[in-house]
Amino acid sequence: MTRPFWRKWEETRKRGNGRSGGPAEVPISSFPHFLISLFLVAAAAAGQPPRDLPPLPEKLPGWIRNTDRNHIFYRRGRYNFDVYNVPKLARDLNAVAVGHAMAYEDLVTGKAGQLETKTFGRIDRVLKNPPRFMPDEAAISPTFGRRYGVLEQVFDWTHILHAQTVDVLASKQLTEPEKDREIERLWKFYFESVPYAVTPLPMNMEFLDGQPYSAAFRKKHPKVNGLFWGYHWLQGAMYDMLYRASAEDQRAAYEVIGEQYHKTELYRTDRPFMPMFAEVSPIFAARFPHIANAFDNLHMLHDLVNDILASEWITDKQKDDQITRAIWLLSAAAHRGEAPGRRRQEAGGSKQEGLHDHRHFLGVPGMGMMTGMTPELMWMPRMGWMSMADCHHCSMPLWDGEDWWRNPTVTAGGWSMRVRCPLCARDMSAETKGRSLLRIPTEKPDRIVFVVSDDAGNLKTSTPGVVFLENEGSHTGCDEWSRAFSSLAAFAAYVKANPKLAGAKALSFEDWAKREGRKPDTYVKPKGPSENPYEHRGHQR
Amino acid sequence: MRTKSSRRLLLATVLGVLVAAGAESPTIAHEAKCPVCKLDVVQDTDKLDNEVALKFGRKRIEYRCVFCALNDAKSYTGDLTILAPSELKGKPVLLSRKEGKWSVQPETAVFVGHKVTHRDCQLGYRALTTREAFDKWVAANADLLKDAKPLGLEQMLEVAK
Repeated sequence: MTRPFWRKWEETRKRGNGRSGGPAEVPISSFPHFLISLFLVAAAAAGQPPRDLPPLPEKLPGWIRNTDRNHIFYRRGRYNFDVYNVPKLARDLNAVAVGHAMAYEDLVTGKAGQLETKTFGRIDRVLKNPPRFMPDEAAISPTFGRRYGVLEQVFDWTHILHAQTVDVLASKQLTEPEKDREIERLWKFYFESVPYAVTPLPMNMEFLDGQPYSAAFRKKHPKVNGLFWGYHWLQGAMYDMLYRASAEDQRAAYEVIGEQYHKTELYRTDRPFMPMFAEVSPIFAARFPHIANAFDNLHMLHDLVNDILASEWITDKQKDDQITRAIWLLSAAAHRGEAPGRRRQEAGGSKQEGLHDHRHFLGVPGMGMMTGMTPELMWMPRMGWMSMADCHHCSMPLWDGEDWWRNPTVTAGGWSMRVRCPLCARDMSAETKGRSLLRIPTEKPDRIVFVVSDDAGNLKTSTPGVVFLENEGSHTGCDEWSRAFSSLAAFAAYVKANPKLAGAKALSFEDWAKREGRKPDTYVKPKGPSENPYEHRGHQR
Repeated sequence: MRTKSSRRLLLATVLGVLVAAGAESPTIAHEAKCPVCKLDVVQDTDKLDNEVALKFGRKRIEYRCVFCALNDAKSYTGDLTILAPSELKGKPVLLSRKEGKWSVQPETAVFVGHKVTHRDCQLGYRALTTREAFDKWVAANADLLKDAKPLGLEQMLEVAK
């Protein structure tokens, strides 16, 4: 078995990133403590309970206080802007950029009071009529950019990684192995060429969402927060939809994903937490956990900033400082030398301990720990508790190690679940209301069968010649008796190599799609440590 | 490629982890949340069926009670069938909608449609094959259903609107 990609990446990271000179460290010795005292007295007098704000770290890198204008742009690549091969997705992503910029500009120009009404209406109009080309966000949010220049550069830098990785996946010129290599090159460029990189480590989301100001934005502006989380849902969900898919499959898949985004995800105000990347693109997150983590961490930085800006009890100076602290918490520089899966113990049990908790869910190195959950069990709204290392249909262990790519997925109703075999994917889709998207690997890592299910469960694929094996037995062996093949020859070779499958018949896609398996004999419903880990917090604290 | 022994080891590990984390015993049923009330679908037992299933084309969606399934039927366009568990194991009452018209099998079926906390909905909203079975069901759940009246299909459809 080869080393997991995660480990390879971590070793590369430990060898050094070639950043010249390292960050300059600036002592914050002249921090105006008397201002905080004055504020606390004033706040108490105004009837607002004073809350302790966490202090800025002792030393911060010089770039974090940079006020120079730095325009960042794409790395050169023949795939740049290939996202337009999936035109509807490209335009929706253009609208996301407008929406973010409009909301931030209004937040910092005294228009926060109209965020849920006028601003929401303006953004919604753009989302329903997305622009043909990507706008320059700096032109839409000039005040925000002037005031929080470094923050905008951090956002932009990771947004460019988002955009270019999507361009690579949508490219018609690159082969699948070339796409994987190019994505790694883009990551290296992102991580090493400027200091604004967001940490690729899994972060403890309970700690990050447990700041004195946390949840202020979603409480005050639930509709606009719903839009932001809807954008983040799309920015995650698009990866598995594009990964190792033909251009035709990508466009067909976006019909399902785009409908879910426009009809439901943008307007949800009942999420207890932001959408996590590995929840919606578990396959890409398994292959590139460092990128999945960086995107989650970027989205969490958005949430921290939103909450700080929406907290009226924090002075403008404190807001500036807390935003600087938030950038630092999520920066790669703050976690140098730390490793995924580990927790760095602070001397004396510091309150910052959660900051250096990089544990992740079992089998999901691309997702940090979340409120009230354990490494073995994750909780999802409307789904309950589940083990992310096991099939969500039959509870048997998912493929892992060098076989990570063999897990099919089912995407429906806003979630995406890994399963162990094609039968589990088909039957799970049949048990799920509405349209769904099935992603079924064949014997070749770069030949994935994309299947679209309509509302009535009728399955369609554009992949010709695909053949299935389904010799149903106990699900302890479903990874052997339920498989998809790119050709009849591949099917025959597999059956020949597995004598106990002798006599098995090859099923055409049409025959396979009509079948219905028995309920899995191995299914176990996990029971978590509580009914709902977010219940005590509600959606808003 | 993983070997058989490593797969067995993995299975044992995972089952061990789940048991340690408080997992319930393995069941043969696939447990889900009701799409309407978001509560767990009460599972069938050896003596009594509890899972309500709505069949629409090739989809088979499970609900917690017949009220939830009928209420959600509005969101499907086209013909569908609801398999509502009755008092008889393995003999559900079938509610079919064909070209917009509802029918029920067996025709002697009656429904309990008594307002209860939704945690008890599989008791308060139930299909029964006969009036006698209804009386027995109400008597057996007297604390919840003492004033319950038997409903015909049209009345049940009205309740679940």
